[in-house]
Amino acid sequence: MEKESGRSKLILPPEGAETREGGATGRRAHLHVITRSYDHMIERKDCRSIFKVILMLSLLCVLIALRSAVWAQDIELSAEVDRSSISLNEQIMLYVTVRGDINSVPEPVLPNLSDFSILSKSQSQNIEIVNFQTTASIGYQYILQPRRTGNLVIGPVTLDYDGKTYKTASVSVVVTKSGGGLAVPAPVPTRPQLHLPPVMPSIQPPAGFPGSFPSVSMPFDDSPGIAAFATVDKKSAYMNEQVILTVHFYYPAGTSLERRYLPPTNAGFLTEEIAPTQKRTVAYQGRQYMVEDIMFALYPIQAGKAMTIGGVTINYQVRDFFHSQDTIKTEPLSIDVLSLPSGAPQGFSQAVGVFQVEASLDRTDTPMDEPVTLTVKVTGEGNISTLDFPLKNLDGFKKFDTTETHKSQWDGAHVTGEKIFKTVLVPQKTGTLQVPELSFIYFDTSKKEYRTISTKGLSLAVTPAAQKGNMAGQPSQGGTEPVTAQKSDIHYIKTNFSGREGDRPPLYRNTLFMGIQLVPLLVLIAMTVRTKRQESLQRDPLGARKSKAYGLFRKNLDAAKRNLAGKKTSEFYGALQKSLIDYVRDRYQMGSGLTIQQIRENLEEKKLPEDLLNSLEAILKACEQARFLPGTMNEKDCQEHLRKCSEAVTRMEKKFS
Amino acid sequence: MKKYIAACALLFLLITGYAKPCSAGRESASSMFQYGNDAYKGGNYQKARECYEKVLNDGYVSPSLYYNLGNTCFKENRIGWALLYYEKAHRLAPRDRDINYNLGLVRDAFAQSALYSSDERMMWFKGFCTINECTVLVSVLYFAFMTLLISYVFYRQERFFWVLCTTGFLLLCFSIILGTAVYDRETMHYGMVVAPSAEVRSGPSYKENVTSIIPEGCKIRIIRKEGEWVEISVKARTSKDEATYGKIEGWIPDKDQSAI
Repeated sequence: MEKESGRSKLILPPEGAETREGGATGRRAHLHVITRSYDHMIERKDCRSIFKVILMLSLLCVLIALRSAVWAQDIELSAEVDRSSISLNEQIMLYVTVRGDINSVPEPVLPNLSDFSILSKSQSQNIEIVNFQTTASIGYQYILQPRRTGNLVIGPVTLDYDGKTYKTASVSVVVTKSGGGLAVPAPVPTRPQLHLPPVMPSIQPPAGFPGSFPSVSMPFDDSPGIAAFATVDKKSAYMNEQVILTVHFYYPAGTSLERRYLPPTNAGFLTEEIAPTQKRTVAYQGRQYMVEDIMFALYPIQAGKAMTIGGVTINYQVRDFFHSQDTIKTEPLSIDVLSLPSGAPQGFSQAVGVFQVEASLDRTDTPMDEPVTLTVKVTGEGNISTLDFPLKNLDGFKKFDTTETHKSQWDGAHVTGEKIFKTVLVPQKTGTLQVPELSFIYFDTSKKEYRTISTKGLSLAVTPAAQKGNMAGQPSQGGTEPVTAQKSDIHYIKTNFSGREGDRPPLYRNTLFMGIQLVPLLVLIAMTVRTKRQESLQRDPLGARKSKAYGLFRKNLDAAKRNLAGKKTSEFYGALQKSLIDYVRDRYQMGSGLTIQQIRENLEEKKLPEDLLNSLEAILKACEQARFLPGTMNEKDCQEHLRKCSEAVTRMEKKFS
Repeated sequence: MKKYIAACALLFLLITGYAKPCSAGRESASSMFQYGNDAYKGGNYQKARECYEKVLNDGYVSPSLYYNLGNTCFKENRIGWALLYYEKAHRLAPRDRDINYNLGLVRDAFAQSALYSSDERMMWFKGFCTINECTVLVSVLYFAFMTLLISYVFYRQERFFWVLCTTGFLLLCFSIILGTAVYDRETMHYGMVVAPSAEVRSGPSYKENVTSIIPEGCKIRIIRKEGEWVEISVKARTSKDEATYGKIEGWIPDKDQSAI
């Protein structure tokens, strides 16, 4: 290591390293830096190949990610209609195609097609593998029937895939009244699918084998004898009447082959496949043949003479080393399609066949605002998949969207089935609500007339809303947790008002109330004061009399005034004398029973002014004179003496204070 | 002394409102209340609410009025308003069985009461009696205490000693409770979220960031008001398993809440 560091002095340290470590910190630090950076370079040489590998790997990863991202984004969504103008009683095809490297793509979402009824839907898939890259296109075909005339718009079809939303442009369709242009609908593409024949025991050919072998050019001896021809069960049919197309596919018994077929390309017919196919064996010209019956139910949607039913193409491959894939196609057929007789009753919705209808509710009683489900089931033979059951508004109910499901089956001669319409109804009032008889009009193909059949009327007992768990008027969604865990409702309202006017301030803010709280405190204080005074009176009686002297004087003087008012002169002077003597006695703490002279002497000791003493003496003498010689004093004298007395006492009080 | 007691009792009755004035306005309010009841019975909740609100706007207050308003709002699915009115009714009549039942039911079932809690104090007290009842109780205790004290001190009624001590102790306790309750009432203000949900923002403006969202019927503490905005505080449960709470503080528009 030391040797290496010696060599390393020749190598300038990288600038970044020096500044990082702080080049100015000293020579020793500098040397240390050089050594460290050189060590790194040695390591870097060793690691370079590893870095390269990692770099390559990460590049690869990025490329793969990008590639898959590009692939994932490489989706085309398109929507188109077969015609831009139709009449009201015709149907229109809507093709929605998803193209790209797609393995599992969700179904595109159709816009709200309130102006159309979707009569049927089918799907087809086409997969190509070129240079290890899969390109698939999934086609969805919808048959739409307009519900009104005018310029109707089919909104954009959307598809959510891999976090992205794909959208098509809107398509507009002009719908005219019936009797418009008789445009020929485009061929109805159906799904080419590989039907492996089910393993069924061989059965004997039926006695009345339909027709004979057509003049099919039989293959050479080394080729297997393979033939196919098609038959229909009737030569003429009404619009929307069920026509069964059967393709008989013959091949020698014991031949192992794989086959797939493409449904007929029929302008003017709706095509439904009937699966599974049936197999049997027949003998022809000494050879045993396997016959596979592939059946389709066709519904004419356009009237006309000799309407062509296209041929059915069958691709097959015999599983041996000598034969490659081959194709056989049946001859086209034609039938007459008759228009339905005029005079269709109001409400006829293109149902042709023989049907029964029944209606039911999922409950017979329900609380108000709780949804019930009205189920209408149409069963029978005919165009089950496309029939409609328009439900008008029911009195007392709020009607929500109708969902429809249908299933059909092959009964050996016809396609029969049932279509179920489920409508959510929310009762809007209490009591017994009636669902009236619902009528269904169809064209009976056996009797060749329009028939109206009805369901039975239903009744529903609606009780007042019991549980306020969900929003009024909206059906509760299945699967959501009920909001209230307990089955209890709020208590009922109160009926007694017992209200008072105004929101009063609290009691502690009420001045009067708080004022009352002072009363006991004041009582306590008063009691204390009173007790204290009583106690002090008991301790010092003379002192107490001294402090009360003036009060007593005023009291006695008031008595004197009353006598004066009552013109009792002698009583007046008696009271006046008493008030003055009592005051002087209490104030100057003298004994009782003193003469005027003794009083004067006592007061002289207290150093009262001479004029005050004279005045007092004069008043007291006047009092004695008045008492012993009544009639000597008149009222004026009384007033004069009263004033002088008050004046004298006031002067004495001032001297004390 | 008897005269004093009689006078005090009369004043008490006058102050606490037991002697109710009967007027024409009150009669019309009562009949409007009855209209509301009839509409409620007929299932016309909106009409019932309008009647009750009219009585309220006329300046009348009663626990049954708030309670019935709460019921109509609940029937109209206005949970926040229902809870607000139940709370108001509860403040006026804390021991009413119906009010407590409906308040508890609606709060537990709809207002996510397990997730949010206003940090309201004195809940036990508020559920037990009103502040006026407590004031009267303290006042009665005070009068009794003072009477006993005067008779003990000035009239030497020795046998009153223990009664005096007990009354004094009770008076002290209830005074402390009343004081705390009055402090709480004067300083703390509570509200209810009446909008379907309220966005709590970091400041009193729509430009501020939303820090959290509180649901309808959530009881909040109002810290202060500024224009059209109020600053609030609410406790929210932070852990799913434990009852640990964190505080949400921020501003919500004034219109999204109503004071209790």
